[in-house]
Amino acid sequence: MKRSERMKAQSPPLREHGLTWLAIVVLGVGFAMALFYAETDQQGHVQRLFYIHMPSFFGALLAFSITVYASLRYLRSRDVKWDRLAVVGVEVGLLLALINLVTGAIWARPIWATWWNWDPRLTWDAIMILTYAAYGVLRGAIENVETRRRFAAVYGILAIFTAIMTLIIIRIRPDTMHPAVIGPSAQEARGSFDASPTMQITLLVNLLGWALLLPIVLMRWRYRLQQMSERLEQLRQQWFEA
Amino acid sequence: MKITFVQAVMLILRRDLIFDIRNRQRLWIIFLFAILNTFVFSFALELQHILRREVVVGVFWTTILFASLLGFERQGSEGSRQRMSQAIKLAPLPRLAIFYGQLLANWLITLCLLLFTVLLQSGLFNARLWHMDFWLASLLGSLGLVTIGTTLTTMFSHISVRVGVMSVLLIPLILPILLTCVRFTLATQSELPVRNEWVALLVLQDIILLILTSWLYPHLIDE
Repeated sequence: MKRSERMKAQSPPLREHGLTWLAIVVLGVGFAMALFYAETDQQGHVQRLFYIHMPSFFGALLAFSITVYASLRYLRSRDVKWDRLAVVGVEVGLLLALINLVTGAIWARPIWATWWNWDPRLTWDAIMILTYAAYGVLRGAIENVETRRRFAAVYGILAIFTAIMTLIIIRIRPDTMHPAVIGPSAQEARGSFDASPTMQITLLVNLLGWALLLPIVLMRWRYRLQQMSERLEQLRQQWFEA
Repeated sequence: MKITFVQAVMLILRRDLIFDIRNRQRLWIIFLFAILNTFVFSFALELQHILRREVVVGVFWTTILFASLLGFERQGSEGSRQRMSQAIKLAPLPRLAIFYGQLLANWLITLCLLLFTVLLQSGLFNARLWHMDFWLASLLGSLGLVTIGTTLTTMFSHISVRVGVMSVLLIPLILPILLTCVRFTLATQSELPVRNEWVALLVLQDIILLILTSWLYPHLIDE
């Protein structure tokens, strides 16, 4: 690791803290708006989960897209920083996808009268999570560091196939129960609602928090942690060699 | 002597098929597993006349998936095949020709497995699997399966801890295709006309996977 990189790893820049505080404030405001400002419809208070459920999916999608970009850059340049970013994208994306899945299940219990059904959107979402979980297994199973990075980059790009399909499946399959937020829902969809102006503003604030700021902040911190753990490993090896 | 892309593909295809026929180990595993899996499902679910018609499609595709999985696992761990692949990398052949040759060989073997399983399960379960749309589902579904399988097999030879890894990597990626195949095949079993959306979805998935894997394959083999 170069000296400049080492310095960066040791002291987080001010803008990193600034971004983190901004994310905390936006998420806090979004949460308060979801609880106290936005109206509800006939679904009752459970509908407020939507402000976390939908934005967290787009946050996951952003993180997975960053993985694809970083993997592409890694395959071209073989620069370790892109591999680091790809791993971080998968981890943060997986966390947000799990939040999306869990909030969806809690919402479904009173609205669909079940925690889970094998609806196309839900099934694809679960497949997407399993695919990205397998990414970690792949990395753990290859000893050669360069090969591990190369193969993980390939798998990281392949895995976006499941994320794309999760996104578009409710447009392809008319038999889905999952309501569409943008555009008309399928005929069999249950749980759709018309967004009032207060709902729309609340959704926008939460989208900013969950789908943009939170993934970026989490990825930045996780990236720094990864840098530091690599540095620690390097020092440990040097110490053993000495 | 310069050979064309198609000639290179055919060369790899021929080499892989000859290797599998001479070696026989992979073929034995795949076909024997298909029989065993059919028996296991038959005993585990105690398939009776009415139940059979409803579950046979699921049993069929599960058999194909797991038998292929074993085949890919075997393919990726054979020492002699790995040495041969190392040698092939040195040959002045286009990287994509190697990929398409291997893919076609795997597809042919999977189609043989499909035919064998259809014969077996049609006989044992007295099911109606001989249908034009059913073969369309099989062709498209198996193409998606071998596209992912061939790509992952290339990775598999570099993996140090192999037990279970192939299943964990392949199954999530293949589930969407399996899901579509099962629904499509179920639609062919009913008297209702088959919905075109299943064909479209399978074609879309196959195209996405073929484009992605064709582009990524050279990165897998060039160290």
